[in-house]
Amino acid sequence: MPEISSSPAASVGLRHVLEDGVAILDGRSLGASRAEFVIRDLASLLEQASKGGQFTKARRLFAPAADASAFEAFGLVFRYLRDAYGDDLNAKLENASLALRRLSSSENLSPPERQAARDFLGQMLESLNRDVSYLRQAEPTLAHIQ
Amino acid sequence: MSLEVSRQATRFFISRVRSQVGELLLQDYPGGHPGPKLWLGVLNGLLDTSESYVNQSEQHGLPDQQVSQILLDASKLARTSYDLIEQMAGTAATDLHYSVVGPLQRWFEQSGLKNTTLFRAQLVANYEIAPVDRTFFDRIRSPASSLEDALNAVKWPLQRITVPSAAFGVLPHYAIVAHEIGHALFGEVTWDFSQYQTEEDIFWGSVSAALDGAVPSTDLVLFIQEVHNSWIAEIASDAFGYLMAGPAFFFALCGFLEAVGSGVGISESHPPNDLRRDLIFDRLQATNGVGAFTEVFERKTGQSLSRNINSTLIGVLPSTDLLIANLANYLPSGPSISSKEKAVTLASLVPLMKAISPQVYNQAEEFIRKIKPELIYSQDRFLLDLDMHLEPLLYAIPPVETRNSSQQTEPADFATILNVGWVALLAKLDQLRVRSGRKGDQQIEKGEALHSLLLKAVELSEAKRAWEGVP
Repeated sequence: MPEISSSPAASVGLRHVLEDGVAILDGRSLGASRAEFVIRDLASLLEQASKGGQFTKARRLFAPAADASAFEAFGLVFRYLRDAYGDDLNAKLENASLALRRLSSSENLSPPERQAARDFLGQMLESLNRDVSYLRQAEPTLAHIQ
Repeated sequence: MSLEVSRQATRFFISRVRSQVGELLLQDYPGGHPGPKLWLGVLNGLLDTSESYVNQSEQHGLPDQQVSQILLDASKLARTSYDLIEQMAGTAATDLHYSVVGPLQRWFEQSGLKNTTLFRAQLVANYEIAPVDRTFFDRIRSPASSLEDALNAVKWPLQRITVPSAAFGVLPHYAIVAHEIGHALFGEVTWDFSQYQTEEDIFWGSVSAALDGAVPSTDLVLFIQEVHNSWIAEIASDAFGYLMAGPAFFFALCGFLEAVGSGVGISESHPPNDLRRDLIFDRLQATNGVGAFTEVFERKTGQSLSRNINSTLIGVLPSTDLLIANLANYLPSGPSISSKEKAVTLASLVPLMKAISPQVYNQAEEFIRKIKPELIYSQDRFLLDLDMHLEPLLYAIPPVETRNSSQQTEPADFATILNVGWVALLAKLDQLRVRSGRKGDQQIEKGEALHSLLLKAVELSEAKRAWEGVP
């Protein structure tokens, strides 16, 4: 059963949004609505991942159920950036998340803040591209009972 | 030249997938539910986007590397459309009984959920709900306008609900769909387990102790969180299933788990079967109004409703040490988590779940009472349904309509049909007055006859509902 989250479209979509995020942080222009969507989407993804990262670091289980997506988002970021950042991952994630949140509120970023967020997204993009290039065809899995 | 070959090949596959989608658009879908055609609209939109990428790749002056990337994206989108046609398998009127989709859809809507649904039946002994999120499509750059229109027509996340087809598509088991709806409701509740901090600390202590004092790695913590969240979602969905379908959900879940030979049933996605069974049974024994569900059952059938009435074969959990040893043999090691770590996680979660589950049930009930109290299948209603329909059903009169508190008749709803059906199946099947047409086991024959009567009840109550314009 192909699951949408592991489908080629998911990797295409994630790559597009990361590429466009990097383009925005590099100062290249995109259409206004696309730029707004990309910043909002990435800010939300990193904010969720950051929250998930905090819960994971604190070894907490009883996060509100609405934050199940936080664990998923952190799992995604962890998968792509664990090798690149190791123990610094949570700190880098927090910084990038803050920068994107501020950008989505139309605040100005200092050059180091912008660069840090750009590096974070760029690193994730690089890792995603590497992952996708060598992605094996997913094995069919039995769906869960109930 | 080679890029031109790639371009033509991509166009060829887009065209083939488009034909396949076009054929599916011409089919009829049971109950006239709109989900399948809305989903096909999304797939068509993806194909249009894919085609627009191919056109874009022809733009003069683009470097080869960029053209390759655009064509690669185009082929991935076409391939995704093809893969996602699979979601449609089992949605046709030939796969799913047409009269069943209506009540299932109504159950879904009555619980306040507005999502687009895709009901399907598959040759798999499984009930499942899978949400499909819009974000995956929204992230795609330069979507065709048809994709945007199709995405806007769907109420996201689209919920794909799968039931078993053919031999395992037994109507009484469809009470399990209430559990699947529970999964969709799960995210609507703000769960609060803050009072269980001590139990959580004990859990982490047992994990650490079982791993010789080692501090769990980030990989293991993520694994633990994932299993924990899945188990809570399962228990909460059981709670919603019980609230919406009453004893029928208990009988359906236990009967289905036994029928598929589920055994102990503990896994990364599901808590053990006997824990789930115990939790629901505890609720069936709780007194309310006319008495507990178990008392009503006994009063109307003369038989006791025991915990394992239709699930004697379900495996019982062994001691924690033995469970860890057994699971460590059975669970595969991952790249960063060992079998033993997985086994320790699952075994240590059992006492934690036992501790917090009553709170899960209480919060699920509070939620339903707040949004739609009439959705709760109560003990009073169970008594009323059995009073009104059990005896006639034994005379082969299906429960088509029922009387409300104002003594007006109204179409019998799904929960009524399921509950009366289960009581007849478990306690009164030998009294079912159907003519024996062929040699063989009479109980099997009566079981089939009862199944037909229940399907007829659903069909006629749906017809009555349509005829009288009852929503």
